[in-house]
Amino acid sequence: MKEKAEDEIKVVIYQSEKEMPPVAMSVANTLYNKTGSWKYVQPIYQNKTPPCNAGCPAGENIEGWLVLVGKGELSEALQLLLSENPFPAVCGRICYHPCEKACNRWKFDQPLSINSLERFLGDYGLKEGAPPPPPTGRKKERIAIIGSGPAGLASAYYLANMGYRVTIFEASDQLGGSLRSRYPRKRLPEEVVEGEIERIVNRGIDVKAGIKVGHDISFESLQRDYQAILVATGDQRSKILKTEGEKAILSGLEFLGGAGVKYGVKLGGEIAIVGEEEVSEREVRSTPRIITDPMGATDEKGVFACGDITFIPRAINHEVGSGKRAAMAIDSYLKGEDIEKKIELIKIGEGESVSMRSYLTGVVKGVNKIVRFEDLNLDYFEEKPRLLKPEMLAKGALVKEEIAIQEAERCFHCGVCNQCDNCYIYCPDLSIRRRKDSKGYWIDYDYCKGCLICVHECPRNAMSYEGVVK
Amino acid sequence: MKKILMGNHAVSYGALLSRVEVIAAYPITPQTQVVEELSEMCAEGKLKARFINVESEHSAMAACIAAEQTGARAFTATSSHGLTLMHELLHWAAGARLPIVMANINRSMGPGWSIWTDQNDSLSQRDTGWLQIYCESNQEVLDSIIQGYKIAEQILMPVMVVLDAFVLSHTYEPVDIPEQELVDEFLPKLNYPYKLDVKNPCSFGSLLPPEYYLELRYKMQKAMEEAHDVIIQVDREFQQMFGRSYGGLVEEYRTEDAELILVASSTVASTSRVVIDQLRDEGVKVGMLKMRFFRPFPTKEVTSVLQGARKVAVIDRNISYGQGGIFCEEIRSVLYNINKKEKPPVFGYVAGLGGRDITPTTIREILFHTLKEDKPKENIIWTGVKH
Repeated sequence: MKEKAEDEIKVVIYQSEKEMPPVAMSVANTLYNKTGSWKYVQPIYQNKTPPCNAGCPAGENIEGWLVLVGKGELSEALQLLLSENPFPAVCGRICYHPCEKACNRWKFDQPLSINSLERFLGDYGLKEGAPPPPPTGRKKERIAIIGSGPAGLASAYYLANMGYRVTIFEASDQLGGSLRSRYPRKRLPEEVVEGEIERIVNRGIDVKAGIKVGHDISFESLQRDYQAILVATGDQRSKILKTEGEKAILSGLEFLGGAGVKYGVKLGGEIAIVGEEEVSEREVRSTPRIITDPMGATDEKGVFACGDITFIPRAINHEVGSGKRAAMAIDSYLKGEDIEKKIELIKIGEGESVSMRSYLTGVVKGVNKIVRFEDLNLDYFEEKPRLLKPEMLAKGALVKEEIAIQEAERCFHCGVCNQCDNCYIYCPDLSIRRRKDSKGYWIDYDYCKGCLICVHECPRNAMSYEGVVK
Repeated sequence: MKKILMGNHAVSYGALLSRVEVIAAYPITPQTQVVEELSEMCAEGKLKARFINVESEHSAMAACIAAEQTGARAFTATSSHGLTLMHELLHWAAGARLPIVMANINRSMGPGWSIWTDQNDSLSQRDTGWLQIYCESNQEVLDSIIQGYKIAEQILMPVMVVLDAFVLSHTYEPVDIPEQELVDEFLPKLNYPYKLDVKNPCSFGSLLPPEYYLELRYKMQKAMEEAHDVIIQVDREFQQMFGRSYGGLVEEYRTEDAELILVASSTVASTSRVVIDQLRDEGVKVGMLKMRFFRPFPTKEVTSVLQGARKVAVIDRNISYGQGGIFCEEIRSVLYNINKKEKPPVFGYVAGLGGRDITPTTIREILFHTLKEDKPKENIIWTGVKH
């Protein structure tokens, strides 16, 4: 028997049958053979955008907090939710939840009860308290926010969390703006509104209620004393025809406030929209608005606007999103940075949704491609109707924690790896490897032959592929 | 402990006592009760084995191969078309030197569709490298399963234990079931030396170039030759422990001064014993050679027993089309090189295909035909064909 080293493989040459084992066996490994060079397509392990997240104008990481609810980690789930939306208990009651329409489960059986779960989580926060966001250093810049509706408060919350000195000027005695005036108490109880506002204000926000800017204090003086001003005065005026014999006439405020916006409304019969020349839906919804760029900056340096005073659909989720964008715009402005350069980083989907977390951390956890129903491997999912129904909650039903967990477990987690190990198990070349930090996998492209079994067997499209590898 | 068992359940008890660890099987008439009983034994916890339901016999053997390759004692049972569907993997099991034991219930090959016994299914697996034991009674079936593992695991070749459809498989006989402790002593836990082991990684069955393939096949043949002595030794040990012997590869019955020796296998041997006794009573010097093993072929025993006999009659419940009865042809072949004066004429009878009964009368007719003729006029003497 002779041995010789050949490209790091030990080659054994047998001289006689007596030296040989009785079976064909190899003790050498085949690592020298980099079979990865054979492939012409390759899998990519990359999280993508779940449609619910892209469908949330407030930019919530819905899939993310559903994961945590599913694990029963409610406090962590709430913390993640609050990092993108400070109004879960409010939104859980009045949001028209386009996320559920976007949910891929809609095409399978029924969408996740995201709105009801958000309400559950929001109420949990009001009852149990919410963990504070990670501390940051206090900044010296002062920011004035005019108006305390959901947009202004959301903006105030995130600016305060960033360490800015925030002062809210509210003309009325109470904070809350449209949250106080637009919704019936039964639907949005006062204590819910107050509870969430209190949590926001407790972030160290200076509140000047009963002070009307332009009347009690001049805008110019604010411009002198504050490094940035955010106009969030909302839509204060409605046009109403005062005619005799009028029946069920709604003002723009009432129409939108009471019935929802564009997609949520079902109207029958004939509708006359009365307004200015060339009335468009946008104009019906609003009285004069402030023109801003998509992130909320006006033409005037240091002056920003958000909420219903700007051109957004008048609904809580859009208002929160608008407030968040303005907070980012103000932060970038004060740091002398160009927010436009960050847009691609913070965008969720192709709409208005943005991620505060991505803005603050500079990290994106995947590629911004929305996962379609067709991208899922449905063999791995079983039909299970939704467990929570908004009408039950509206009647005062309490959500049990285990039911909430079960509902959250229905989530497909579209585009987001939850380490189900399918790719790892099915890879015939052992080329899907577990990361040492337990945060998912990596692909050993030296040996991956591009069979794409991992892509096919990934239930949620966290594995995808690209063609023609050179 | 004695029980009244059908042949199929004797197989199951053999596997139980051998403490098989993995069973993968697919049902087929007339084998079904073998695995039914085993699945119940597993379900009841009497047998701590992994029972794998598979979608075909091909998969059953594949699963047994994989299991055995990890060092587990594997078992399966099949019949006829099931066995022939396994054909590719039978080569694999033997080539990989895996000591799997399988029961095959001899059933004729279709068409015409038949569920009754003959040996063409197992004999057409002649060249796959499996040892073949043809059993005469339910007791021999049970004992041969246990012996089979002991032999297989010593020489690292697979063993097929064969029994006749219905005549044994569905017939109840008293069977002595040995004590488990004794069987454990006789058949220790398998320690397969070439197993998959994460602590000692290696791969099996990979590409083997012409420079080595021949040597490994040489080793397989050597293992078959080595099996001869191992079979005799195992049978002797078995007798010491359990008080029963099957003579190793063959059994001689009243051959001392026999001028005519009948060669038979399976349950035909059992029926032949009755006829031999009758003819001896009538003063005819006749004896029987029971072929227990077909592979390895008992060349030495066949030669020594038949050498010098005046005539030999072989009953084949099988046929190799275009040649003749398979046992007969192999017997003629091993006798070719002996001294011409001692070389008896060999009469080859083909009978009982497709489960037609081979009765004492049939055997009597065969023997009287042999006594009457000086030498066979034809290569095949057909028995019972309706012309």
